Amino acid sequence: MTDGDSISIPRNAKGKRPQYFEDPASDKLHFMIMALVEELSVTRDRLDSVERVLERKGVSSLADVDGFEPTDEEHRQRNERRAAYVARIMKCFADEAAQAARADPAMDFDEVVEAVAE
Amino acid sequence: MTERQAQHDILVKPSHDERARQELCQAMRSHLLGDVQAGTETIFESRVHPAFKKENGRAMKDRHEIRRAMTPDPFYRVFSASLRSTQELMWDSVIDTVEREMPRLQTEYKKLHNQAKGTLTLDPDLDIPRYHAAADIHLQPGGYHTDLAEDDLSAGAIFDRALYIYGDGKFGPYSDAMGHMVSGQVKALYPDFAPKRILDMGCTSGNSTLVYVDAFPEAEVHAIDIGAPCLRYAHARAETLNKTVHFAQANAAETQYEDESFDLIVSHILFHETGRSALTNIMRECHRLLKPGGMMVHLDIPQDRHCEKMYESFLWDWEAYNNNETFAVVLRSLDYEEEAVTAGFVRDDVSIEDVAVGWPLLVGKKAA
Ligand SMILES: C[S@@+](CC[C@H](N)C(=O)[O-])C[C@H]1O[C@@H](n2cnc3c(N)ncnc32)[C@H](O)[C@@H]1O
Repeated sequence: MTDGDSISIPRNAKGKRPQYFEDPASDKLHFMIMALVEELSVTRDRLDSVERVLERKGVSSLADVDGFEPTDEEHRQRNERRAAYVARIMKCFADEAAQAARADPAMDFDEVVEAVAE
Repeated sequence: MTERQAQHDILVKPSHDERARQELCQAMRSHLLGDVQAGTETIFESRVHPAFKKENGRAMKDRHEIRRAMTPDPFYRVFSASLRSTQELMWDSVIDTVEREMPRLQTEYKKLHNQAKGTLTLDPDLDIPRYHAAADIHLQPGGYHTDLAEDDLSAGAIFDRALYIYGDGKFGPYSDAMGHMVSGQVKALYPDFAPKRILDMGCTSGNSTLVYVDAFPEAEVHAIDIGAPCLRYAHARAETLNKTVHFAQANAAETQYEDESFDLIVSHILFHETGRSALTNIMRECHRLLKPGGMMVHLDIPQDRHCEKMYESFLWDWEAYNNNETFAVVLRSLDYEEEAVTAGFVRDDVSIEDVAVGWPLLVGKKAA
């Protein structure tokens, strides 16, 4: 390889991917959501950078944002905010676990219909 | 707060957005392996295990029964699919960085290699073991061994950045916590032990290896791996961090070194990424390479017998079934001591030490 040459690295790992859901389409859908989650986080990070650059300098340029380097404290805040974001996306887990931990299990919809009809 | 990854010339520098992706993967893993993984246990206790007991009239007897019952559970499925997807996204975002950075890294590599104090010995004819060629371990595309160009070091560059993300920084700024665990334990157990020649087996990017240069300043440090692109990276990384190490491409089961040529042989999570016969052969090779009175010390993930709870043991198998770390399942039930005895070590000179939260260290002293 000579200096300055670029390289193309494979993007797919060898080995069969487990099927997690009954319908393989659900596996794809789920992956798409995960990738969207990632990209939304990227956007939010980028916006965060812009805001901080603005705050620090009063002016902003793209180069400013690209070169943005959070301080340790800013980095910590960003991690905290990101963790909260992930927890929100994954709230379905927390909810189901909370339900499962309940002493009195939730009623089925029809049972509730009966209860409110009384 | 975990420390940020320590910067040096051979480490890739993600762009703003690449870094955002990588840090998201880190946050996602942290959440999934924290709250959500804990949630899977609640699900197990509250509905999966009770249903099993009702149907079978008994409790589950091992981690494999747990896995069979948990795999179809909707909560666990989404947990697994999310962790798996995050792993795939992690490699993808790191590869973006490595592809972009490769021209710079190549230039750095050549500069460092030309003024190196340590050495790099490659063996282009080395056979890549089937347990590496069959599937890409932990989903790194191309694995540890695929050379994509002349003087390629991409696999090492990818691994070093990804290891930090994967470990959420818990392996430290130089991702070398395992080296510290093992060398620290060696010093604690044998305060008078002063090895002159040390070999690290399965060094990858050399993160743990470098710890031995400082821990035993009198020693000559050697390190081997199967993967040439990892070794080139490890070599350049060692040089830029000013540590003298002799790297060589070799199969740990069959090396080129002379009989009785090392005082200390170590490995850090090498075992679970090998295979059944390879493991036996690696231990035999350790016995051959050690000087009388020398020691082998191997660190790997908790075995089934080290787990307090059956559920915890089941979780340790996740990587085997979902992340191509297939041999881990077998390894976690193996009798390490028996393996070492088969390899030639005397039973009384073999022990298992617990370094941290059940991570076992297999220590074998060669009879003097
Ligand atoms: C999980 S990595 C080890 C990480 C590294 N020791 C550290 O502390 O950062 C496993 C490494 O072992 C290498 N390996 C697997 N089987 C091997 C063998 N038979 N001989 C030499 N290296 C091997 C792989 O190529 C890979 O780089």
